[in-house]
Amino acid sequence: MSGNAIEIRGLEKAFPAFALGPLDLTVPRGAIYGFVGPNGSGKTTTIDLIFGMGTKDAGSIDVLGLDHLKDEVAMKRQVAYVGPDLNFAPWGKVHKAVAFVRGFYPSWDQQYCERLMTALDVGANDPIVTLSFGARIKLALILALAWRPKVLVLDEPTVGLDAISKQVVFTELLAAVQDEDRTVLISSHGLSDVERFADHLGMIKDGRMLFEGATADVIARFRVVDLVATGTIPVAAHPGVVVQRRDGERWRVLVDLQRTSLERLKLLGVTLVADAPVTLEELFVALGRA
Amino acid sequence: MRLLLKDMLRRKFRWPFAVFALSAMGYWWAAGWHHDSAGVMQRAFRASLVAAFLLGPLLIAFAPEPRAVWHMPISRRDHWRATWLLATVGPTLILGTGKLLGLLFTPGPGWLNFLSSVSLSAVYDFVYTGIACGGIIVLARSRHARPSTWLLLPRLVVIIPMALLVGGGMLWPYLFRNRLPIRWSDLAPLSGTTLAAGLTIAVATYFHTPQPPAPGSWTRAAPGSGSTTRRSPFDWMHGLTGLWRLLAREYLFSIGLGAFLVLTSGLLVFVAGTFMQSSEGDGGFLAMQHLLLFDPSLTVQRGQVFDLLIWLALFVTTLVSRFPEIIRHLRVLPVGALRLNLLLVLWPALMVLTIWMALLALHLAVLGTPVGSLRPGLFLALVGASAIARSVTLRWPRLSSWFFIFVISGGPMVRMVDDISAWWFVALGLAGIAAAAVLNHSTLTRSATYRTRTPKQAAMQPHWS
Repeated sequence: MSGNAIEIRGLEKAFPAFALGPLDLTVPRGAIYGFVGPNGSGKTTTIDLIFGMGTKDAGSIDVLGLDHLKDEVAMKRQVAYVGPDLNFAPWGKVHKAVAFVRGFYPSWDQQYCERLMTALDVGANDPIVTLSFGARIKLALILALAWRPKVLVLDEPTVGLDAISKQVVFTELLAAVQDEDRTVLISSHGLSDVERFADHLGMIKDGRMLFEGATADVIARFRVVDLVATGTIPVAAHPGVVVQRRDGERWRVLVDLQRTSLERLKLLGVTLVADAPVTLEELFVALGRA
Repeated sequence: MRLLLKDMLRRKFRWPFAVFALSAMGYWWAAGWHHDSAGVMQRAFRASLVAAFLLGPLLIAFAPEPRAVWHMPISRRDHWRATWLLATVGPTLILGTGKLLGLLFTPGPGWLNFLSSVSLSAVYDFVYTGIACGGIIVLARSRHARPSTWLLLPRLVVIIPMALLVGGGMLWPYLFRNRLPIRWSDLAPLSGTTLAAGLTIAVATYFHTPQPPAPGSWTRAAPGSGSTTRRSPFDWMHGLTGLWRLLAREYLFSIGLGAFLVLTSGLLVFVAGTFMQSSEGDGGFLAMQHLLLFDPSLTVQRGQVFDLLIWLALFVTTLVSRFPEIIRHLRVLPVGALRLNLLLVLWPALMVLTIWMALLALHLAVLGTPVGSLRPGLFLALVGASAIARSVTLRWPRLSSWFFIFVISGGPMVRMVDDISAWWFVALGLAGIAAAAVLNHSTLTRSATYRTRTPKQAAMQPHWS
């Protein structure tokens, strides 16, 4: 059995106006993996394909060593999903949705469920149609966490959540991972949250993985550099350099230290003015635009 | 207002308009051909009224409006007026054009002779759609009612007027068709006054200004209701969880709604029968509705649309389960795609089986004799028809708004109950089930199946509220 919770290799899926992949993604067991990328880059498509919502054109998806299609039911007994598109409204009230979902999971922990409902301020008797968008996400989280799944796949779970709820959600997620060696794959636009809580990161753009790895390694891999270069120096064409801003001879660039180094840049004839560590948001914007 | 009208025309005028215009052409062509037959002309009037209702108030006014429209600098009054124009004048013009074109190709004594009837029919269409718009206004007001204690009441105040408006809108023309004057010269003082009053109401609805919708918070539980469940005494499913809970809930929902529709349809059929002075008593009435279908000798072929109404309600019962609404959730739960497909295909069988048992009980109660045949062929055919209708609406959700087409295409099978061999029914049923299974498999493995539905619903709101 592989040591990874989720292992995607060579995943491909073509749509009329978009193609995903070939995509490799590796989520180690026990990790909180932040899956980031611009809108329409293929995050939700990847997550949907894990759950069989769509047919892949090529590649393999293994979750906890199980093939996502051949061992579909066995996989889904260990993997929970949270997303904004889940519709619980036909159940009427919160406790009825809870009664439905708990029947699928022998490991359902009702006490834990009630604790989560109290922590996230979701009432058992609340009519679901009257819940706010954020409260519906909270309900989806409760239904996913209460049976203590081995892997949690969260597609934009913090959309619509206020700062306090977001804090509670991430506290619960961290507690879940620390206590029980659970794995979390979280696709989110809340980059500061991802940076704070995720110990692994993967960034996807136009259906391709730009980078992935431990958060500290990813952050250390990139630097924001201010430099001065004359027009004849091919700064923009240098591998591993992404131009963020240019004002005459002054440049601000993002440097991928795995592909180049500050010394190599100096050899081009540029003058380094300053360099600083990059935030995930800067990285996201720079690579997203490039 | 001009831009809004243009936008609405682009968004809402689709192929149904051409279809109904063509049907109007056909009816009026036939009316021109059989110029001496008042019956054909009355059918043409009736068909025009039904088509006008479907094209206007039903298709236009009930279609949800993108939320973005409400963020634009458009007043509610202008929005209503644009909707009103499309719901009343639009169908009247489209159907009127169809009627005139139909009459142009008539080899009869000259289409000019029918101008009186065409213009009167157009006025009827306009009045009928205008009054239906009035019904929409009343319905919108009932939606704003805020009963605070009994949660069932707010649902009923929406459901009952809705059923009367939507169901009745298509049926009233059948009731009144024999009493409608078909030329201006036929108008008596009473009918003329009624028409004038209707016209006044129809025009008056144009000047309505919709109220902003009430916030949907009146059913919200008190803040801090906590995690303790307050169990309702009507919670029959207490203790049921998982898939069994889903099945039990959908079964109760479908049967409950089906029973309501069947009873309402039965009432309409009874009223219609009395009104048209063709009321049948006891077994005869049931035989005419094909409800004693286990005894073919008792089935009476009459051909009234009302004979099918109860069957249409029964067919709806097989299709109203809410599996498509929660398909994404079902897909992330530990339920395999094959099991889900089986559920979708076999669900109609469970519903038709329930209907069969109810009809068996009815047969026994009315006739007190054992049934002649269990009609397995017809059983399979109805299961197949329901399964394929469900698959098509799941695969092409936009067709859900044309739900009634599936219903109307499934119900008439009952009318053919004695004309078609049981083996044909078996073949049709099995083909329907097989086709549904294949289509479901394709649908459940499509990415698009799991998108758009919820966000689209979230982005829409009825614009007549």
